[in-house]
Amino acid sequence: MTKLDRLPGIGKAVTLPIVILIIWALVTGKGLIPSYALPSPDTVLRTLVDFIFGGSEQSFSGTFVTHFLQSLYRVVGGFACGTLLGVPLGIMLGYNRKIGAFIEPTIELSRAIPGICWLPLALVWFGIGTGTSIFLIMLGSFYPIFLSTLGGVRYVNPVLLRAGRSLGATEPSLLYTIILPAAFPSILSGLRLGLSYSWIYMVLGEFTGVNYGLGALLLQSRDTMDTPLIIALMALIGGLGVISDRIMLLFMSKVLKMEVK
Amino acid sequence: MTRSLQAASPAGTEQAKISLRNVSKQYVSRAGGLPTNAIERLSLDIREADFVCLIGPSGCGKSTILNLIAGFESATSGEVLLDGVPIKGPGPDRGVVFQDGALFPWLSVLDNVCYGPRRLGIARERYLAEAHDILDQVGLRSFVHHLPAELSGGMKQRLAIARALINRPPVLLMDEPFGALDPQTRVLMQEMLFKIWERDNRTVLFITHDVEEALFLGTRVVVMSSRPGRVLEDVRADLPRPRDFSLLMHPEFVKVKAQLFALVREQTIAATADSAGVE
Repeated sequence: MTKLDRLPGIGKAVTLPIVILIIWALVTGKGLIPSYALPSPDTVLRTLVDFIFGGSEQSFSGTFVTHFLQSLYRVVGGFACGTLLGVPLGIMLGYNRKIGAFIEPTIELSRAIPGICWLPLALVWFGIGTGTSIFLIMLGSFYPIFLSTLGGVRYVNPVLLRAGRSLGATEPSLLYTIILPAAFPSILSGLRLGLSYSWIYMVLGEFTGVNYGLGALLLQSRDTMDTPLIIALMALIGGLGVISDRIMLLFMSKVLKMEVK
Repeated sequence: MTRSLQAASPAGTEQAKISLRNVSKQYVSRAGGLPTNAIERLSLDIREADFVCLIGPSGCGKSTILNLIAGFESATSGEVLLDGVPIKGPGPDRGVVFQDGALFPWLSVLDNVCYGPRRLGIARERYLAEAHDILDQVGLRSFVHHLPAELSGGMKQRLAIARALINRPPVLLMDEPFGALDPQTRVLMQEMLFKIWERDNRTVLFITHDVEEALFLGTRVVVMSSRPGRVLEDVRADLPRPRDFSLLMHPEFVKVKAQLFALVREQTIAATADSAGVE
């Protein structure tokens, strides 16, 4: 008990993954589950290394960068569109309730349509490929970004606004000296959520049968029943999501340092 | 101060710095209950360089009066005048110190103080020197680069006062600024505030529910009735100076304090009975 307590945080965090890995290795090693359903961890790891660095005769060998760049292009493009739409709209409607009353209910209603339902229409409009992916990612990232920005701006502590006004701030300067800095944590959490949705909708967009992209390859590997590659890609997409989140946090903490005074 | 010159009173009598005439303020209940009269037909004149302390039971409309003068709210009827001119909204000519400080948590101590002068377009070299000077006066010299969250309660309120003072507002409005502080810190803060006031002679409206604090600080103590708030008693507090903690034991101080305390207590009982009857 006390020994477990003394384990550092990182030690506690990796305990369960290690246990799962061990069980996974044992189960597959003993042949309890056929390898086409669940390959052994080392097979998956070898596939992952092969996919990234090459070295075998497999068609996917060493093609990571090609697929990754395609997916990244779509994620960044879609997320940028979602941000450019969500943040300004959220600020505007959060700041001005009168305009908000006209636009907000419509956005709320449209949100009830699951993002995946837009897929057929997106295919009709943009065809199979990057356009559809970017559209879906934009849609998926827009809602969390918009709603967090709106909430953050709308629920700025009114006493801070009073303080600003009695210190000589004009209405426009209130926006960038108080409202935006006060809403920043909320906007940031919206952006983080939006970015994780972007990776989800990237996979959805690429499932429509495009040739390149991590999601596209994921679907192709199902067709070829390449289970090791399926699992390797799942881990890879998850890992990229985490890394992109970290990069954005880093970037945002830099932005925070140069905030308006 | 130019405003007081242009708005000289026509009759030649002394013009009040702040003047409330027959002011009523009604709050409409959002849940559909009866509207509440926070204050009703209240009149109050505050002369230049007065230090007016407003006391009364909670919910008697003390903060409403401050909010009307600050320009955060507008009166349902009646007039609220500053130098004879109706108040239209908040402005840097009336500094406000809020109950909880209302500091900007993302700005350092120094940047909180510099917020006002920056908005007013004052030259950097001028306000920076002044900001350091004011932070020195309130004893925050070695905390300029700290964030508000890293300060104690007393330090936060000193910062809030410094932030309001740097604009040199002719009027300083303070809404129970020391209410959340421990008694020791409180007395130190009161002494500091009184010193600053003695030096600059600003017009101050100070809200408190503490009779002792009101008597200690004010040149005038105004006691309000329970809701709807009216002026019940208006006492000149010409107590000896300099004011430090020894004043608290002065016989005259103790006598007036006892009288005012009884008055506020009466009103508090009335307020409690009233709300108990409503519920």
